[in-house]
Amino acid sequence: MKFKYKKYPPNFLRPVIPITLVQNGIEVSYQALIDSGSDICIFDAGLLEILEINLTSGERRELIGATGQPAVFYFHLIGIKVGGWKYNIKAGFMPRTAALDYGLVGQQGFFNIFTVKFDLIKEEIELKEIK
Amino acid sequence: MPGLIETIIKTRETAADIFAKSLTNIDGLSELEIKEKLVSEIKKHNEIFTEGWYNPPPSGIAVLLDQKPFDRLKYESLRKPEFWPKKNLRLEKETVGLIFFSPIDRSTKMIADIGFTIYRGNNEKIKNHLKNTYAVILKIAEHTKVGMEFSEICSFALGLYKNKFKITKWVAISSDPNAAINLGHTVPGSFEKNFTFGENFEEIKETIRTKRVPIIETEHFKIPETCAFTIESRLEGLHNPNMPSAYFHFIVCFDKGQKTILQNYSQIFSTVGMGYMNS
Repeated sequence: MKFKYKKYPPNFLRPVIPITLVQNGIEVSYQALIDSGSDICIFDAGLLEILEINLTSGERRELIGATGQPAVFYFHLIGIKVGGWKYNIKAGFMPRTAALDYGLVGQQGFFNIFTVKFDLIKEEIELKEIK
Repeated sequence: MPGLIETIIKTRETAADIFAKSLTNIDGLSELEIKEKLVSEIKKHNEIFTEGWYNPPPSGIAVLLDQKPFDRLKYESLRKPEFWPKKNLRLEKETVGLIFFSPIDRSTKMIADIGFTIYRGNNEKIKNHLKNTYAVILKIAEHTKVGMEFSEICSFALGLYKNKFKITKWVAISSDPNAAINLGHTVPGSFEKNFTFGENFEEIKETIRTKRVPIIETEHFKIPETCAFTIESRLEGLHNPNMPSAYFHFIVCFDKGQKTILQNYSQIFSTVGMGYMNS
């Protein structure tokens, strides 16, 4: 599967791809930044409300971000569609995320499913499922 | 075949018509139910895509309903899921809300967004705040002329807002994160030669998202003889913190120098019970 890098102001290219979160027969189209520096996948907690999942019913965890401040999130088992193919992953959902229009897909939940080839010059990301 | 500017005017009329037809009998409806009413009406219009370009939020539609102290209306970005239409927030008598849609004409890919603040309650101060917000944003649209730099529009707007309004800032929308004001953006393809949008909806949406020229104080883009751009602001009362952030969206079109300002709210205001805005 190939995806194009997305442009962000003022002049950045980021490996943000379209994804769909799936649960309870409900699908939500969203986007995710492919972030090899992230241990896990993290999404905005507002998505859970649409998927009719109670945020705090998940496993409560904390993470320390770049600012050094701890942030609470909750793990949930969830379906994620990438390029139309569905995978079941464990993802973190965090209230009060930054005002970005995408989540993060990291080592667990994404890089353990796909081999990822970043080609900034071609502005292209290639995903190959690990068999 | 109609020209591009003509198409923008027509698409904006279509968007206004969708609002006027959808926003009837909406008392007690939730954000999500109002959004679904809009979606049903949009689907009757084959001349536009069924989804808007400003997406997320889903379908390119925002519906935010808020009560005092109106914190939800001070949203950082409509792209954040917490500000997408919700099931549990309903339109009540004293609700203040924001309704926005971002249509794309199928044949030309011209956009013609529309968005306004809804209030049908009894608080005269809020009504006046909405009227003043509408008037001041319209005044900015009226001030624009061919050859004017976008930075000049910003200076003019900052002068008008000074001592009267506080700007509710958008986060992550501007090409310059330090910009103090962001008054809107060009309609991509409305003035550029040989502009290409891409093949599919995702590409078109992405082209529109990335090719807009923002109206910020550091932007030296000069208004050409033929072009279209939005003028929009979210304004709070500087001297009355109880006032909600109010939003109105206009489009300014220049067709070979001839100017048209697209308001298109008269019918919508009548439909939703905001006749005071038409007086």
